[in-house]
Amino acid sequence: MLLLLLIGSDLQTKLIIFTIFFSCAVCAIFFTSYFFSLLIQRREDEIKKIREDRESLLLRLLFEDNSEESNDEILAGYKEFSPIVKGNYLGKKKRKLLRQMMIDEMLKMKKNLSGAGVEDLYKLYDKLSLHEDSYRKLETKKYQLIVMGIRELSEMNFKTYYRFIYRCTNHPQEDVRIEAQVAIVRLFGVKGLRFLSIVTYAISEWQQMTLLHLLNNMKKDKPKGFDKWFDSKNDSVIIFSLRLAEMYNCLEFLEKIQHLLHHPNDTVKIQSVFCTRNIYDESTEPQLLAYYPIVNKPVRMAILVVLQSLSTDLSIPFLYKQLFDNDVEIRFCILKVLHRLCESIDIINVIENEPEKKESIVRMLEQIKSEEHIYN
Amino acid sequence: MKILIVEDETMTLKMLSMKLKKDGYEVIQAEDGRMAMEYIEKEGCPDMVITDIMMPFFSGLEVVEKVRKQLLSKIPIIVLSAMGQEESVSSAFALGADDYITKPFNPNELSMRVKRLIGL
Amino acid sequence: MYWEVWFFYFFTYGILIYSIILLSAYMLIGVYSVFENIQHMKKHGFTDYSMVASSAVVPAISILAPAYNESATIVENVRSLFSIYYNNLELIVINDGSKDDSLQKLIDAYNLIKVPYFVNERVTTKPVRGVYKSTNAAFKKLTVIDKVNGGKADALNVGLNIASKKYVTCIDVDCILEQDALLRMVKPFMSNPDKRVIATGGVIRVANSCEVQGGKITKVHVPKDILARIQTVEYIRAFLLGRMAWSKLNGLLIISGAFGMFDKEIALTVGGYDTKTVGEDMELIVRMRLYMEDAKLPYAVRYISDPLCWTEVPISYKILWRQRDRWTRGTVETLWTHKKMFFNRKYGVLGLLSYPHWFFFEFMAPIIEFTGWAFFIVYAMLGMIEWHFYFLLLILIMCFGYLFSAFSILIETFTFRQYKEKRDVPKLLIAVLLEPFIFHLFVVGAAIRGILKMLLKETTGWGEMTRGGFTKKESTKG
Repeated sequence: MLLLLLIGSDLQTKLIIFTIFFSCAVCAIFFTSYFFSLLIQRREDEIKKIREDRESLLLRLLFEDNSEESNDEILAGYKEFSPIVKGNYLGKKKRKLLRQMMIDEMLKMKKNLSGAGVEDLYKLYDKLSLHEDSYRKLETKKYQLIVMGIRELSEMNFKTYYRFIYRCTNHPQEDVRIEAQVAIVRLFGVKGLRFLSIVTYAISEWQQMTLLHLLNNMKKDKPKGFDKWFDSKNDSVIIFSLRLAEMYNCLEFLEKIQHLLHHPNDTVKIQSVFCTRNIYDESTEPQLLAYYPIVNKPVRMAILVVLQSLSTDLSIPFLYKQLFDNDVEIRFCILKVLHRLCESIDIINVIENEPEKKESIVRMLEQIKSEEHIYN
Repeated sequence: MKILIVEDETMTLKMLSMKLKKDGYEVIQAEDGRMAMEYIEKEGCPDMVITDIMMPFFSGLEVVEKVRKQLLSKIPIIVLSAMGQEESVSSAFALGADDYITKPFNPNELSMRVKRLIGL
Repeated sequence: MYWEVWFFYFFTYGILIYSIILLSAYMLIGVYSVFENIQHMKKHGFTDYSMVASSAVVPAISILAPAYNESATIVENVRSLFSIYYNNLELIVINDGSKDDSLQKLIDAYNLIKVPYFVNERVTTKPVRGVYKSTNAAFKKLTVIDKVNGGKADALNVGLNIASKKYVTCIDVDCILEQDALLRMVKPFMSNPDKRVIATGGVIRVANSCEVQGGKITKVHVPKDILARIQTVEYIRAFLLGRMAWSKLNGLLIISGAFGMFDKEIALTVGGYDTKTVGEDMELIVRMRLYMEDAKLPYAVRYISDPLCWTEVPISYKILWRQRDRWTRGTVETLWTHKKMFFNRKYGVLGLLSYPHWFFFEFMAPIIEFTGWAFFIVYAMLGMIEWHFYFLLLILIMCFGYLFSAFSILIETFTFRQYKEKRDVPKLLIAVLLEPFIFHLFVVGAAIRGILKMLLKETTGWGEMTRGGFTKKESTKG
C-alpha cells in the first residue's frame, strides 16, 4: 500500500511520506538504542555478580583449608559442579554459564599464581570436570570457540586432547593456528616444537616472541629437530630455529648456522649473524669479515653489531678500510667496534686525508666515549 | 600480628590476604599507597608491610621510603614486583626493603618469607 | 528568465541528489564498518598482552615529545612519560627553542648534562644546539634535545634523526594512554609476515569528565558539557562507522595526530614531516603510503580499534573554531599536495576510493552545504521558496543524520560499551538531537573559513606553536 502511495503521487506527497517514514525510523532507533543499552547493562551486572561469586568460591577452595573434605563440603552447595541427576536440574544454559565463569576465573587467577598454587588450580579443573566444557568448544565450527577451548585446556595443563591441538598447529585460520602452537609449547615445552617440522604458514615475529617468552620460563632441555628445521622451506621456521639455537646455546650447530649466512633471504642471514653472538669459534670472526663485502646494508649492520663483542685485533685492518664508507650509520657502527680495539688517535690518523669524514668521525668518537663514561 | 598489604590489583590483594589469614596473621588491605599511609598515620605502624612496587599515583617505592625515612620505622618490608623490574627492586632495597617476591607469586614461598621476617 | 528557473531547479535537486549520494556513501561505509567491528569483537580478547608486557623481548620504541614554552608543566609531563608501562623505551624530548626556562627546569630535575653527539641529519632541520643525557642511571631512557625554534614538524624531524629504535611514536602529552596501548600499537608491525606495516593508529576517545588517577582513566563518564558530548558522538560515529571500514580496505588516509606509530626508516626515507603544513601527521602518512605504492612494495597501515588514547576536546566555541579551521587546512593542504592520486588507478584503493571519497564527501560537503544555505537565503528573500517543500527536505536530511548518529550509538552499545551508566545513552541521544542546531553549522563555518584561508593564502604552518607537544589546551577541562 505504501508503495502504491509512493508511485502514484506527486513529489510533495512523496516527500511527506519519506519524511514520516524516516522520522519513525529515527524514533525507532533511538528507543532501540536506549532499550538495548539497559538490557545489556542488566545482563552485564548479572554476569558481574556471578563472576564475583565464582572468584570467592575459587579463593575459598584454594586458600582456605585445602583438604579434600572441606572442598567437597563447599562444592556440595553448587549444583553446576555435581553430575546431572534427577532433581538436580539447573537449566542447561545456566549450568553452562556458571561453569564457564568458573573456568574464566581460574584462567585469571593463574596469571597471579605460581608454584604450588597453580598445581592446585590444575587439580581443581580436573576434579570439576571442566575440561569437558573446554573440549566441547573444540567440536564446534566457530573458530573463536575453538581458540578458547584450546587456550583453556592448555592453560589448565590438560593434555588428553593434545592430538587435536597438534593438528591445529598448521590450521589455515590464523588465530587457531597461533593459539594451537602456543598451547602445544605450553603443555609440552620444547617437545612441543615438533610442529616446526610441519608448519607451512609463516610464523610472525609476534608469535616467535610469544613462544620464546614461554620457553624462557620453562626447563632448559634442548629442542630436538634442528636438522630438519634449518633446512625448512619455510623461512620463518629457519629464523625461529636460529633464535632457539641462540637461546639454548647449541654450539653443535655452529657449522650449519654459518652455512645459513649464505641463505637467499636477508632476514635469515641477519638472524644467523646474530646467532654468532653466542655460537662461535675462532673461524667466526674471519668468516664474518670475508662475508661483509658481499652482503647489503642491513646484514652489514648486523655483522658490525656482533663484532662489537666478537672482534679481535684481526678485524682492525679490514675495518680501517671500511671506515671510508659513505654511509653515516655504517661508519658509526664501525667506530663502535674500533673504539674497543684501538686508540682514537690511531683511528683518526687513518682518515687524515678525508677532512669531511674525519670531522664526523671525530664527533662520533666523542659521543661513543661519553656514552661509556656518563654514569661514572 | 598485623600485616599491611598494599596492592592495586584486586585479585592479587585478595589472594595474599587469604593466604596470610590462613597462616594466622591479621591482615589490613590497602589498594594504594595513599590509603596505606592514611592507615599508618591513624593506627600506627603494623608489624609488617607487603607492598607492590608498580602502582599508579603513589608507588611502592614511595611507601618504603616514607616508612623508613619519615617514620623511621624498622618494621620488615617485603616488596612485590613483576618480572623484568630488577631496577625497581634494587631501588627498593636501597631505600630499606628487606625482601622481595616476584609476581606471579607462589603462596608457599610467601608464607616462608613472611615467617622468616616476623615468625609465627 | 529561463536560465534563472533552470538554475533554481538545478540547485535544489542538485543538493538533494548530492545529499542522497553522500548519505548513501556514509551508510555503505557504516554498514561495512559494522561488519568489521563485529569480526573484531569476536577476535577481541584473544591476544594475551599481559604475558608479553613485561618480557625482555618486546620491540624497542622511541617516543618523541616536542615541547615549546611549557616551563610550568614540563617536568611533570616528562615524569608521566617515565611511568608508561613498557619495557623497552627511549624517551626523546625536543625543546623547540623555548623562550622560557623549560630546558633549565629539565636539566635540574633530571640531572642532565650536555653530551657530545653526532646528529645524522637524514632530514634537514633547524640547527641542534645540544643533546642532553642524565647522569642518573634511573633516567637512562631520557634524551633531551635543544634546538633552534622551527615548529612542531621540525622538532619531530630532529627526533626522527636522533631516534635509535625501529619504531617511533609521537604522543601528545594531552593524551592519556591505556596501559597496554604501546603494546597494542606495536603488535601489527610484528604480526604481518607478508606485508610491511608502515604505520599504526589508535582510536581517540573523549576524556572530558572522565576520572583520571595517576595518569590513568579510572572511570568513564559521558562529558557534562554539551559541546563535548556532541563531539563524543562525532568521534564514535567517525571511528565506529568509518575508520574500521577504511582500515580493512587498506585505504585509511588519516591516523589521528594525537597517537600514531611509524616505521622510522620509511618515515626518514620519505623525508620526515613536512614543515610547511598544519596537518603534518596526516601528510606524512599519505606520503609514506605513496612511497610504498610507487615502489610497489606490499604494505599496510593498520588501525587498532580498541580505545587506546583519551584526550580532552574543546568546550569553548572559540577553541573549537580554531581546531576545526586547522583540521580543514591540514586536510586540504595534504590533499592538494598529493592530488596526483585523484582517480589514479596506479594507486589502487587510495586513488580510486579514499581520495575521491575525501574530496567529494569531506572536502566538498561543507562547501556545498554553505552554498546551499547561501542560495536558500537569497531565494527566500526573492520569495521563490516553497516553504513546506524545503521544510520537509530539511527534516528529511536531518532524519538521515539522526539515523546515522543514533545507529553509531547503537553499535557502540553492542561493541565497546564505554558508557555504562543508565543515563548515558539518553544523554548521548539528546546530544544527537541538538547537534544540527548548535554544532553542525558551526563546524561547517569553521571549515569554510579554513578553506578560504587556504585560497587566500593567509597563514601557513603553526605560526608560534600554541598547541602540540606538552601544552595543555587552554580551558578545555569540563
